[in-house]
Amino acid sequence: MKLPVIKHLSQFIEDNDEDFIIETIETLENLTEVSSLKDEELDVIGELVSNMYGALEVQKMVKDGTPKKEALNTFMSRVLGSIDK
Amino acid sequence: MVQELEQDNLQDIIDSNDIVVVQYSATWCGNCRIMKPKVKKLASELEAITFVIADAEKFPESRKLATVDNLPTFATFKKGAFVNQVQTNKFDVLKELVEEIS
Repeated sequence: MKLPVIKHLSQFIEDNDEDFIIETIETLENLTEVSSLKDEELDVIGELVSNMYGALEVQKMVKDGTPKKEALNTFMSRVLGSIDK
Repeated sequence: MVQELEQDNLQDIIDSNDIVVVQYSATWCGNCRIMKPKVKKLASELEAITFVIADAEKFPESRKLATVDNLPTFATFKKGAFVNQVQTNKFDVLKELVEEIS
């Protein structure tokens, strides 16, 4: 989960449409069914998908009126609040 | 069959089933999404084991039953007690964890 990537993708959603991200997620998730995929390739896909879901969550908050910076910080707090570190 | 946790009551499920495998997950976690169909497939092959998917964000009390420092975390429980856990997006690693307890 990388904040600059999520920020970039959120901007992409604002400039274009979230459907691009949703369809990309579906494509990447489908790609993980390839049995010959290497571990590192799977890791990269997993990370990309997480960032895309993150951007969708941030965009949801922005749509509801939360300022973008606050939405990004709130989302990252949610991520950290979901694990025991 | 995989059970999706609907309330923060994982301990009750662990207490009432002999062997339980839990996937701690989150809606925005890519690796969790990737593992979900694989967990469902494994669960359909191992009917004696109770598989549960727990939202780590929504259910903090259930999360406390295992050390969840990354997602997805898979934890095994036997006769009401925690046995082992692993963080992985690799089906083989999950399978090893489940074989260890079954």
